[in-house]
Amino acid sequence: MNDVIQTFHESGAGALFPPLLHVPSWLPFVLAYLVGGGIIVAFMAIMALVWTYGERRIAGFIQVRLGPNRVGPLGILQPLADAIKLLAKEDIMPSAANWSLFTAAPILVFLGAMLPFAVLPFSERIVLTNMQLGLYFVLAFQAIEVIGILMAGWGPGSKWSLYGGMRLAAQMLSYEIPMGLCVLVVIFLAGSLNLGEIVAWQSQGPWILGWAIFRSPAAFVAFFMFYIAGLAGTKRAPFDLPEAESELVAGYHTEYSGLRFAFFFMSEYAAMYVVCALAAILFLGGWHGPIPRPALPENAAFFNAWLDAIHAQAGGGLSVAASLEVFAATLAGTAFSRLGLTIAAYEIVGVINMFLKAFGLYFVMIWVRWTLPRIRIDQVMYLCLKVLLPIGLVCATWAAIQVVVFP
Amino acid sequence: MTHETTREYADSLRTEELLINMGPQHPSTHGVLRLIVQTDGEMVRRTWPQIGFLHRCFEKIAESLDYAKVIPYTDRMDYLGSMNNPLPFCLAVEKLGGFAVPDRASYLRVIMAELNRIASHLLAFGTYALDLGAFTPFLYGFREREMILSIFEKISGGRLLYHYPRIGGVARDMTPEIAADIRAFLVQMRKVWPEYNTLLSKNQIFVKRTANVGVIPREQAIAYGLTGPCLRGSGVAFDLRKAHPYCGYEHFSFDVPVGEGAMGTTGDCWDRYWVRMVEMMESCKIVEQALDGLPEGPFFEKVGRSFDLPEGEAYVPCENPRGELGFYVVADGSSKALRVKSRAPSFCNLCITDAVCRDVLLADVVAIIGSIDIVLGEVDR
Amino acid sequence: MKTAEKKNPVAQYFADIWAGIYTTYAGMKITIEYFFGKKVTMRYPEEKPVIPPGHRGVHVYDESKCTGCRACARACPVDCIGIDLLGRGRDVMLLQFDIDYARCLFCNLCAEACPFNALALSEKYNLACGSRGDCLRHFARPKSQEEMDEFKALLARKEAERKEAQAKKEAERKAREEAERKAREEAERNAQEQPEQ
Repeated sequence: MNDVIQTFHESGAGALFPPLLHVPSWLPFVLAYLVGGGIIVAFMAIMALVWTYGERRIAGFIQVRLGPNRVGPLGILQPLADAIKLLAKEDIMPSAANWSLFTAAPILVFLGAMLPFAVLPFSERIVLTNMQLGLYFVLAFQAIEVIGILMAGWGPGSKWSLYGGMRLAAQMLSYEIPMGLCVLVVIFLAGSLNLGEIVAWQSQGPWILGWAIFRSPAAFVAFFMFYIAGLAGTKRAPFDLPEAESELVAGYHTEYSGLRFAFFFMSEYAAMYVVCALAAILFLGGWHGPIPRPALPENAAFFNAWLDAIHAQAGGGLSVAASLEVFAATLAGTAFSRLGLTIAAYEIVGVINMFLKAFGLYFVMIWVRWTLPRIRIDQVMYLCLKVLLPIGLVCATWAAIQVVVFP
Repeated sequence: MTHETTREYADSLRTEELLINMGPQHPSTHGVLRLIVQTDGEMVRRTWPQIGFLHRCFEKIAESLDYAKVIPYTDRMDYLGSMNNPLPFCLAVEKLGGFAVPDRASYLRVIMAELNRIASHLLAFGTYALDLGAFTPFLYGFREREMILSIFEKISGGRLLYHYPRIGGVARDMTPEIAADIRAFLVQMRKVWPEYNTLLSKNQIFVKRTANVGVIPREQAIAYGLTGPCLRGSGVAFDLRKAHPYCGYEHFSFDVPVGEGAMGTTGDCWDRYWVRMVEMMESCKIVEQALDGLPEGPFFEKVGRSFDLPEGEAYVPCENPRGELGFYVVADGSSKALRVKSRAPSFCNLCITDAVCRDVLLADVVAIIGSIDIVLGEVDR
Repeated sequence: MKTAEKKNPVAQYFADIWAGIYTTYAGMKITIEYFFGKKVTMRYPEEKPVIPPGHRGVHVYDESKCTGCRACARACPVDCIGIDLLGRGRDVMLLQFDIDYARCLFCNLCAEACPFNALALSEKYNLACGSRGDCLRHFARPKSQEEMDEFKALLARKEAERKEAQAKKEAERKAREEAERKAREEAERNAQEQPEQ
C-alpha cells in the first residue's frame, strides 16, 4: 500500500488531497461504516417501500384488477401516500400494555431484518463487510426477530396479539432448522461460510451450469426447501397465520399503529429480501448470472493491489473501512480510466444479475401468497417437523457423501 | 413433588381458559355476528353465537302493510338471494287468495331464482376462500357474479335488491337481449368452473383445512333442523325443489348433489362446500332448460295494489341458496296480514355451531362458520 | 357415514407431499395466466358504466301530468312521498312533491301506481349529499306567493262560475218543470172537458 501512496505523492496529485492523508487512523473506519450503513438502510427502506407498491400491483393483476393506479402515473407514488398516512397516525398504546415490551418489539424486529444486510453482498465488491462467517451471521441475526415477535405478542396485553405471538414463535423457531440444513448442503459443497467465496465457487462451470442447483441434486431439492422454509420464517403466505386477517384481526401487530406498524411492515419486506437474496447467492449463483460480465483485464493492478492491502491489513475482515484512504488516493488515477470503467461495468452487471434473481424470487413469493390458502398452525408444524426436516437431513447427508466421494 | 409422573404434574398445573370475542365487527364472520369462544390454548371448548345486531323488525312491519308492499322487505332479508326471498311469500299469498300465476311468470321466476342461486354460491365460495386465506378466488367469483348482476339490472332495475317476483307473477318481461346475455353467462360459467376447482377445491392446503373438519353426522343434521347445502353435505338427499316442487320445478331435470365424504368424512366442511359448487352447475342446467322452454303469454296476473284476503293461513317453503326459506302467512280478511312468520334457513343452520365447534382449533371455527354460509340479514330479519 | 379410504400411512405421506406440490403448481399456473390477461377494472370516473334503461335510480317527475291523486304516496311502503296541493280534480297546483331519499327503497311501486305516467325512476345513481336534510328532494317547482294567490283566485272564479252555472241550470230546470206542470194541467183540463161534450 505504501508504494501506491508513494507513487501518488510523486505524481503531484497529492496536493489535491492533503487533509485526507493526515487523518487519525480510525476516522476512515468510522466514516466508511456510517456511509455504508446509511446506504444500506436507505436501500432497504426504499426497496421495502417500492415493493409494497409492487406487491399491491402484482396482487391486483393476479386478481384481474388493476392495483393502485390513482396516485401518480400508474400509481407509483402510492408508497409515498402510504408512508405519509402511517406517519400521520395517532400513536396508540393500550392501557393494559407493558410499555417496555410494547416499545422494544418493533425495534428488535427491525434489527433482525436489517442486520443481515450488513453482510449481504450485492456484487463481488459491493458489500458492507465481507465476513468470513457471513452466512452464520445472517442466520444468527435473523433469529433476533423471534424475540421481537414474542415481545409484540405479550406487550400489548391483548388476547389477539398473544395468539399471534405464540403461533409465530413456534413457527419461526421451528423453521430455522430446515433452513439451517439446506444451508448446510451448500456449505458442504462450497466449503466456506463466506458468501463471496460461495458465489466464486459457483462461477466454475460454463455459463450458469456452475450454479449450486445444477451441481448436486441435494442442492436442487435444498433450494426449494430453503425457499419454503424462508416463506415460513418471514411469515408469508401460505404461512401467514400469525397475521391472519380473517381470524385474528391482525395477529401480533393488531395494537400497533402509525410509525410502530410501519417498522413491522418494512421489516417484513426487508426480511423477504434477505431470504430471496440469500437463496440467490447460495443456490442460484448470486451475481454470476445469466448476463455475462465483461472480462476483467489482466492488469487490474489497482484493485488487486488494493485487495492485497486489505487482506494484509486485518485478516480479511473489515474491507471498506480500512481502504478508504487508499481508495481516495488511487481514485484520481484510475477512476476515469478504461480500467475503472470496466471494473464499474463488471460490478454493475453483477448487481443486475443479483437483482434479477432476488427480485424474481421476490415475485414468486408474492405470486405464491395470492394463490394459496393459509395453512393451519398444527399443519405448519407438521410440515416443518415431519416433511422438511427429514428431507433436509437426507439432503445434507447426500451433500456430505458427495463431497467425500466426488471432491 | 408429590405427583407420580410428569404427565400428572402437567395436568395439575393451573391453566386459564380464555374467553375470546370474535365480532361483531370481524373480517370473517359473514355479517354482524358475535361469537364468544372459550378456548384452552388453541383448542376451542365452546362457542356461543350472539345475534340480533341486524334485527329490523320485519315480521312486525309486515303486519301493518298491504301484501304487495311487504315484498321489498322480503328482498332485504337474505340480501344475497333477493330473487329467491319473495317467492315463498308470493306463493303463500297466491295460495290464500286463489290467484293463478301464468306459466311464463313461473318459468321466469325459476330462471331468476336459479341465477340468483349461482350468484349466492359464487359469493359463498369467494368469501369462504377469503376466510381461509386464499384471496384470489373471491375476485374471480365476483367477475362472474358481475355478469349475473348485470343481467338482473337489465331485467329488474336493481343490482342487489330486485323486487322482481310479485304477487301474481313477475315485475317485467324478458327480452331477447337478456336471454342472449344469460346464455353468454352460462358459457362463461361452464368455462371457469373447472378453474375454480383447480385453484381452490382440489388444492391440497384447502383440502387439509376443510376435510374432516366440522363433521355433522346425518342424524345430527336432521335433528337440528338443518336445510340446504348443510343438510345435503351430510348425506341427506332432501331438496325442496324435488320433494315439494313449486313454480314448475317438476318440469326440469336436474340432480341434487349430496356429500359423499370424497375428501374426508361425509358431512365435513369440504362436503358442504362441494355441494355448493356442484349446485352451481346444476342451476346452469335448470336455467338452460327454462330458457329453452319459456312459454309465451302474460307475465303478470293483475291482482291490484291492495286486495283483501279471506281468512286463512298458509305456509309455503322454498329452496333458498341457504336452505328452506318459508313464510307462514295468517290472513284475517283484511288487506293486511295478521301475522307473517319467516322461517329463515341461516337462523336455523346457525344453531349447529355450538354442537360442532367442540375441541377444534380456532382456525377451524372460521372454517366451520364459513361452510355453514350464513347471512345475518336472514338470521336477524 | 362414509369416510375416505384409509391408505397405507407411508403411501399417504408421499401422496400428500406430491399432492401439495402438484396442486400448488396447478393453482399458480392459473393465477399467472390471469396476471398477463385482461383486467376487468373500470376506471371510474373516467369510464362510467353503461346503465341499462329500466335501472331504478333517482325519480323523474313530470309536473304537468301530475294531478295530485296521491296514488304514489299510498303505494309507497315506507311513506317517503310528501304531497301538498291546491285545488282538486283537473284544476290542481302542486305546492310540494317531496321524496325523502333517506327512506326511499327504490322499489318502483310509486311509478307503477301512477295512472298518468308522471313519475318514473331514471338511470341516475349519483345520490351522495352532504347532510341528512339534503336527502329530502323537492320535485315540484316552487311557487311564488303571487302564483298561489292567482291560482286561488282562479279557483274562486271557477267556483263562482260553477255555482252560477249550477244556479242557472237549476232555474232552467225549475222553469221547465213549471212549464211541464202547466202543460199537464192544461191537458188534464182538456181531458176533463172532452167527456162532458
